[in-house]
Amino acid sequence: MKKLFVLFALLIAGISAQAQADAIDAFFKQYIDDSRFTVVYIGPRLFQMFGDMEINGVEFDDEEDEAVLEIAKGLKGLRILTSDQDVDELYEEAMKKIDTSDYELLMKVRDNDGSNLDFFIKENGEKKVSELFMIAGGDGEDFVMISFVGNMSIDDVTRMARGIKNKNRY
Amino acid sequence: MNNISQLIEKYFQGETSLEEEKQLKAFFQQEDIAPEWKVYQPLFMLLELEQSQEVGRNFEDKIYQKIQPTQKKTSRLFVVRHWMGAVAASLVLVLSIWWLYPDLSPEPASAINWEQYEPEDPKEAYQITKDALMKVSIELNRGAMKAAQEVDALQDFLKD
Repeated sequence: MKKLFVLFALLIAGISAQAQADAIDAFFKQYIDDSRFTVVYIGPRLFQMFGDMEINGVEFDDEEDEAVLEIAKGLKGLRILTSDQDVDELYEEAMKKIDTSDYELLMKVRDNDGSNLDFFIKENGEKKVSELFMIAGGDGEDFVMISFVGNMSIDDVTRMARGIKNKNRY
Repeated sequence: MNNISQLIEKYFQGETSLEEEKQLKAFFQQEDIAPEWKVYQPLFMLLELEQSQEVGRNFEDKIYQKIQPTQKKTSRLFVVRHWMGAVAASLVLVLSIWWLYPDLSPEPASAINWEQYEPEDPKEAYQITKDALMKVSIELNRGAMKAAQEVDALQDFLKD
């Protein structure tokens, strides 16, 4: 009888864990061995080490680094997926595969030159973002997916929107 | 008749012998009974009637047969309820832990071993994080700029 309970618990855990998987995870499953992609992952262990780097003599002295460190504190995962082949096809595929009803569309830009840019966020309570997710693809550009998972505030996101680097940008 | 009166008194004191009780029952079977005894008649007639009924041979077996199936039923029902209750309780427990402490739940299990894509050098990881944040920032700005340009263009168009 106890075994049955454990099985039940695992089953439920499995279901909800799958439901919680982030967008890139959902999309990338089928392309694990696909050589078209460049993949980078940064997990919680590395984010924690950023703070220690300062102590170890790496210098963070400008505003930009401060902002990056501040945001990195709340991050649990960063996943980047890029490809310079089949850009349009991959963009279409990704938009189909990812259940965007889980997300709130923050911004969508479709340029007349054929490039696409979409920003999605997953909100977690008031003024909190648990995932920020960008997908870009289109004519002449690379296919790029970037997903930040963790605890970010809306302020962090708007700070990004203003440009982390304040000097001479736009 | 005096005898009857004595017997009745003895009966109610619980001191009559079986023989004497038989006498009493026999007496009350008669149709004509003095009015003073009339009140006791139904009692003794009933006693006689009850005694004449006999328990069947397989009385005990029959009783057991009637009792046993229901006993089984209730016990099985109890087990099922007990079992479902336990499942429900553990579900509630697991779910409430999830709801109350979302941070406690482990990183979602993934079909992908993401760690193989992790850079080993934290400095490199930092640079990548920074670049990714910059990229997102730039794209967000570009999108916002585009939207602003569109609005400007629309306003120009409306002025003409």
